[in-house]
Amino acid sequence: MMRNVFRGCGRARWYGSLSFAVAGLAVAAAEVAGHHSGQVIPTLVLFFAVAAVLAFGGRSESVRAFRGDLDDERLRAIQLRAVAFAGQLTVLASVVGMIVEIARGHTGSPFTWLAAIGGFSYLAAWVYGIRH
Amino acid sequence: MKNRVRQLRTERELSQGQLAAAMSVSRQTINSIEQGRYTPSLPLAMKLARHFDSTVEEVFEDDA
Repeated sequence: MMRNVFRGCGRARWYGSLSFAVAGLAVAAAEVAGHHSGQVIPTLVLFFAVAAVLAFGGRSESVRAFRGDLDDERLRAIQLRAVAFAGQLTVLASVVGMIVEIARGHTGSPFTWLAAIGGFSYLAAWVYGIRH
Repeated sequence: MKNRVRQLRTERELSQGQLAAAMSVSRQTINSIEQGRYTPSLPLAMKLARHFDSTVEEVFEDDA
């Protein structure tokens, strides 16, 4: 039930920062492919800055919890609330975006798909939670 | 939720870090419990109570 509070400290630090660095490179490559080369530098700066904070964030509880090398029931509760908040905000933004796009005479895509994915995954998670 | 964790901890001359290590939680979680900002789960509340040779009711006060 209660797990060790220090969860693979060293590994989590490098996995987290490496993930952000790789994601930054992937987004930058997509920008080059999409002829948006002007956005490459800001993208890399943003992603590599987050990667650096995760790698060298020191003893800050927020950084250690975010990168996953500090874990206990309170941090898991915070994580759950943060994910729920972000999910609700994303679905709300998708619905607003869909309505605006439809009002402009467009199909509402891709906001329609995002709102549908958010809504259906919420319902599926709800049903799963009720049954388990 | 009001509780006697800080009182019981200081009586036993334990630091927050030592209690946190014994409970397998972070020091900040012990601090949050002592401040009443975080209500622990039942397993953690029971573990804390056992650590202080008390019952959950003796450590935690139901202020509802």
